[in-house]
Amino acid sequence: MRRCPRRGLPASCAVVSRAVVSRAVVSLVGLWLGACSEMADDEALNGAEPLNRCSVDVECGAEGRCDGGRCLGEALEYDSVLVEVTVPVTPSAGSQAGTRSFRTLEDLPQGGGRVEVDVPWFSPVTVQLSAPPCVDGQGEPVARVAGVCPEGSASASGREPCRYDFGRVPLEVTFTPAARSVGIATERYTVLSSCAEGDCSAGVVRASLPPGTYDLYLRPDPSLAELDAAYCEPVPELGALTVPVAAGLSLDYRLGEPALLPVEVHWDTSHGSPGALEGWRLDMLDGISARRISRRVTLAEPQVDDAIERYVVALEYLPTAQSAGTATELVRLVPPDEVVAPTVLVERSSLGLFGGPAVLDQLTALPAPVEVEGQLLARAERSGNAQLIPVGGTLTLIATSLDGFPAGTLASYQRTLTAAGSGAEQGVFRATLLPGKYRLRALPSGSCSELSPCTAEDTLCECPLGATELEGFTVAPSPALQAGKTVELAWRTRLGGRVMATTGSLAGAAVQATAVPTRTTALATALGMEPFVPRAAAAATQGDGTFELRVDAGDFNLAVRPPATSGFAWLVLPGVPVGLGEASLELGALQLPLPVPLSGAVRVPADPEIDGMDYAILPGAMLRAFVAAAEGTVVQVAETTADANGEFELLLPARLER
Amino acid sequence: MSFLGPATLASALGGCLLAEPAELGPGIRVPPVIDPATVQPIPLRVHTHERRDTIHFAVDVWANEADGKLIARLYRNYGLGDQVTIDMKRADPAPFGGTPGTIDFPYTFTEVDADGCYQFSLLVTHFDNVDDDLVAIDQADVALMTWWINVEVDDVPNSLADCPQLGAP
Repeated sequence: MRRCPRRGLPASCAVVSRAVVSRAVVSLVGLWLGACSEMADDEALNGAEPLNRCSVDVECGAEGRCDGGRCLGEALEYDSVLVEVTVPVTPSAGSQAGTRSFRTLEDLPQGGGRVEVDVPWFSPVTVQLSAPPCVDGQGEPVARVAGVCPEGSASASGREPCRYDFGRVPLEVTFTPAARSVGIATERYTVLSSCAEGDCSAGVVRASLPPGTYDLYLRPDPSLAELDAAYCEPVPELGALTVPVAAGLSLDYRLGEPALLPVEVHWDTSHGSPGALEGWRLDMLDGISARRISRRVTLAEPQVDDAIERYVVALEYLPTAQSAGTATELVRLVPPDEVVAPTVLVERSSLGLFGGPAVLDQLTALPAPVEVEGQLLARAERSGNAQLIPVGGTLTLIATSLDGFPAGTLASYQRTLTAAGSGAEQGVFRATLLPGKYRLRALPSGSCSELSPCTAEDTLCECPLGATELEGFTVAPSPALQAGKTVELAWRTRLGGRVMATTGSLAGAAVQATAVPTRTTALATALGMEPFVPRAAAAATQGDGTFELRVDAGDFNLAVRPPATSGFAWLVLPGVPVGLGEASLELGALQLPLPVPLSGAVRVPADPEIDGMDYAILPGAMLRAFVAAAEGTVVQVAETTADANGEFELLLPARLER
Repeated sequence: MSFLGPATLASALGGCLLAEPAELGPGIRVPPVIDPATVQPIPLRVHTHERRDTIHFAVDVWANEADGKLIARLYRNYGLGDQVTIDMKRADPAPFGGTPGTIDFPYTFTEVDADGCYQFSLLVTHFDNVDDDLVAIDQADVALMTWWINVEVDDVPNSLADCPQLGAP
C-alpha cells in the first residue's frame, strides 16, 4: 500500500485502496445478482436517459465500430486538444484545491486511447524590479544609488530628476494567461510589488502561477492618489513571461527608461471658447492590447499664439513591439468626465513626420451637445392589432460620425443609457449627446412579462426580445432638446433543429449557443467598433430530439451536450450565423458525431524520493477540452469529471460540424 | 469474509435476492442540495471578467425524486434593488446517492454589465415552491450559490466598495 505523500499532495492514495476493495465487492455482488441483470438492462432502456449502445458494427455507420457495447468513432479529424483542468475544492485536493490550469495534448491517438493528464504544481515566481540606470556625461550607464541618479549623471531620457521608491510607488503587476487570447475567459493574476528586503529603491513581486505563457502588464498602483513629484512614477509597460513546469522562476526585471514624445495640442479659439481643452488628458495606448503605455498628462496653461492655443507637453512612454516595422501606438486625448466631448485618437506614426514636436490639431471644434429623449419599444400583437409596447433595457450609442469634426478624425464617443423597466416612464431613456450619427445597440432587461407572461408551464420562460443593433441613429445639431425618438427592439430568432444519435432521437441533451470569440484591434476597441456580441442561450432537446432556442443576432458556437452518463459525444457547430430580424433559423436534422474516447488519470507530480511515487492521483477534477476553431480561437468540444480514482474518460467528437 | 455468506447462499439457490421495499414514512420535503465541491466557477474568490467573456455558472444538484421537478434561476444582484433575472430552467431531480444533475447557465458579459462588482446567484428549488412569477415561496426549500464577479471595463480598478451589499429578500 502506498503511503500518502508529502504535505500538500492530494490525499488520494487511501482512496485508491478503498476503491480497489469496493470494486472487488461489486464484482462479487454482480456474480451473485447475475440472474437479475437482464431485468436491470430493460429498466435502463425504458428510462428517459439516452444511452450509446450497440451490438454490432453495422449499427454504428460507416465511420464507426461497436466496441464494448458502444458506438465509437474510428478517427479524430484533429490531432490536438487544449485541456482545462479545474481541481475541486475538497480536502483531498490538497494545495491544488480550486486551481485551474491548461495543458495541450498533442498527437492524440486517432482511434482513442490513454493519455495521462498531469496537473502541474503552481510555480513560485519572483520578479525583482529595478529602476532604469542613469547615464553619465559620456552616455555610459550608471547605477542609481538609493533610487537616485548619482552626482554627474542624469536619466537617459533627460526627464526631471526623481527618486524610484517602490514603497511610495508600488507597481501593480498583472499576469494574463495566453489562453485568454484564444477566447477562453481565464482569470488574471494581479500582484502588488513590495520593497525588496528593506530596500525600497528596488521592488519585488511574488506570485504563484500555473506553468504557461503570460502577458505581463506593469503600472503604478492605480489606487494611489496624486504623487509627490520628487518620486518617479514608472511608466506602464508590457512584457511577456513563460513560467516553466515544476520549477520556480526568479528573474530580474529592469523597468524601461521612458522615451519622451514632445506633443503640441492645438486649439483654434476662433472656433471655440478659450481654454476649452484645459483639463483634458493625453496618453498613449499600445495598438495591439489597448493597454495604456504612457503616463497621463493633463493639459493646462496653454501658450497663446494669435487665435491658437498651444498645449505643450512631453509624453513619457515606452515604445512597444513593432508590427511590420511600424509602431502601432495610439495617442489619445480624453475629455474630463464632466465634459460632453469625444475622445480623439491618432496613430503616433502619423504625428511629427517632419521633425519637431508631434502636433495634434485634429480637434477643431466642440459642437454643443443636445438633450435627447426617446423610448424603447417592442412590436406585439394585441387583440389582433400590432402595437408598440414600451419595454425596459440598456442602450449603448456609439458615434460613427460626429458633426463638426473633419473626415478622417478618429473620434470615439459612446454612452450607455438605461430605459426604465416599469412605471409611468417605462421604456423612456434620456441622454446628453453630441450631434452626429450613431450605431445603437439595445438589450432588453427583465423577463418582458408585458409581452409574454411567464407562467409555470412555459418551457421557454424568457424575454422574447433580442439584442438589437441599428445603424444611422441621427442626432441633429438643433434643437437643443430632441424628444420623441423611438427604438424598436427586434424579437429573438428561433433557432431550431433535431438531434439524432445512432440509437435514434436524442432526448434530454443540453443545447447551448454562445458567442463566437472574436479577436479585435486596439483601435476598434478604443473606437467602440468591436463586433456585436450576442448573449448566450440554452435549452434542452425534447423527446423527439428537437430543440428550440431564442437567440440574438450574431455568430454562435452551438453545442449539443448529451448527459455525461449517456456515452455520446457532443455535437459542436462552430460559427452559426444568425441575422438580425431573422424570424427562424432551422438547422434541420443534426447527427451526433461518434465519440472517440480519450481516457487516463488526472495526476499531480510527486517526488519519488520523498513520496515513494512519481505521481499522486487527483480525484474529482473537471476537464474541459477545446479544439481550434476559426481565427485563432478555440471551441469547447467535451467535458468530464474524473472519478474517485482520478480516472477520466473524455468523449471527443470525431469531427466538428463545419 | 462475512459478506460472502449471502452471495454463496444465493448462488446455491439459483435465484435473485430482492430487497424488502423501503418503509416509507410521512413525506418530508428535503431541499435540493448543491455539491459545493464541483461548483463552477470556483465560488471562493472574486472573479474578474471583461465584456465579451462567456462563462458557465454550473452546479451539480441532488434532490428527492418524490418531491418533484426542480426550477433553477440565475440572478444578478439577487435580493438587491437592482435584482435582474438572467435565465431560468427546469430540471429533473437526481436522487441523493447517485450521479447529480448538472445545471449549467452560460452567460456572456455585455453592455448590460457596467463596470463594477456584482453578485450572480443561482437558486434551485422545487417547481411547486414558486409563485406565479416563478419566485421561490419557502426559502427553506431553496439551494443557493452566489458568485462575486468584478466586471472590469475601464482601466480604473474596482474595489470591494464597488460590490453590492449582501442581502436577501
